[in-house]
Amino acid sequence: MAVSPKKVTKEGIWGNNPVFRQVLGICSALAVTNLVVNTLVMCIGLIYTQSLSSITASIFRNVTPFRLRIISSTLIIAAYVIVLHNFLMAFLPEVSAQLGPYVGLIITNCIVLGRVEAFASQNKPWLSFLDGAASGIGYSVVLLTIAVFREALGFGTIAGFPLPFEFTKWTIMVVAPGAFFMLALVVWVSRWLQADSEPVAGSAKK
Amino acid sequence: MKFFKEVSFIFLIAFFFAGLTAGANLILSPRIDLNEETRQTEYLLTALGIPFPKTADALQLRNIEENHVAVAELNGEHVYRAYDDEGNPTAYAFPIGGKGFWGRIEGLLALNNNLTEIKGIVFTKNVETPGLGARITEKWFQDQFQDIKLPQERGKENYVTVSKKDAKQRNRVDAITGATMTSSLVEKFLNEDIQRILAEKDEIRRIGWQSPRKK
Repeated sequence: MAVSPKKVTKEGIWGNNPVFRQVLGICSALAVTNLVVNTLVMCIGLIYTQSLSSITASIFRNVTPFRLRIISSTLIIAAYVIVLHNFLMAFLPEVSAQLGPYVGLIITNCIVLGRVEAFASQNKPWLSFLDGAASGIGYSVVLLTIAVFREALGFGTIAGFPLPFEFTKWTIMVVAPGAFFMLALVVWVSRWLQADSEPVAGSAKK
Repeated sequence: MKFFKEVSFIFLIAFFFAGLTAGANLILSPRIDLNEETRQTEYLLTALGIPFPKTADALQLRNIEENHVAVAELNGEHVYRAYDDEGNPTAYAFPIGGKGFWGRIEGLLALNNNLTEIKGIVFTKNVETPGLGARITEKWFQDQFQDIKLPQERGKENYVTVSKKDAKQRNRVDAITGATMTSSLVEKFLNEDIQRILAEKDEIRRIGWQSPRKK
């Protein structure tokens, strides 16, 4: 599989976006996207975890026994997430309190294990790092888009700054169902924009 | 041989990454503990209505606490007594808590010297929905409880009611829009806790307080 760094980056962010193409990481896309600031911290956390886990798993890929891939990937991911969690508790205690269990749940974020398993286990370290970072950014773009709309409609603010006009707030945007609607819309719009490159059903290339 | 190789591989990487997390924990835990202590002190001072500068660091806060707050034990729980600069007692604080919508909510309730009026309330722990139920930790919500007079005979009525804006109950505070469940659960455990505290009135008055250093 010949892959160029440019292609890896582009695929991670757009062509093969983890959220709207691979439909991974939905849990956190629903849970943490009602406030932009929390979402941003979550996204940075994911980019960090994904890129470092990918590069680490890739470095170890030739010495990792085949049937121990998943257990060692999980171990690597968990270690980085615990470090991140401690770091947030030490330096951003308020954000950490608001994100609650979701930082810890990055360990079980399907994107991280998915990219480590699908890409890092077969590619060179720095390319894996790039893939991890690009997937993280792809995830962040979707989450931040959802968060901006949810916070604007649900609270009338963006990242805590009030919008310049008054309207009736949509409480549904603050709770999980709002995220389902937003996520569906994002998937719809992005797939529509991608329609040119969509393979016709049944003729998908292997 | 293959088995041996696999087992040693897992041991090696487990050892390495456990070391990494343990190291991070070791370096960061003093700071995390300090943050936690600072937060608890801030909660306590806020509930008791003891002013403190917003930028105060852990050491300053500890200082203020040592000079203004006394701690005692009542039925296995910590209760607190606030003192002003002259060393006169101003308020009590009691732990409160109960079931919330997603999990347990905990807080501190401060009452005046006669146990007849709410001086302040803070919610110290909750896992309610961010942006909805979790807004019980916001200042506007907690400030509403200040100066509420507690009827000495409760009867069937609530001490405090958390309800929507135009309802005409006595001792009413505004509920949180979109968080009806959290609001009514707070109302429930708050009233139960107030009843429990007032029932222990005599014991509370008998507590021998170790009054803090006078200035």
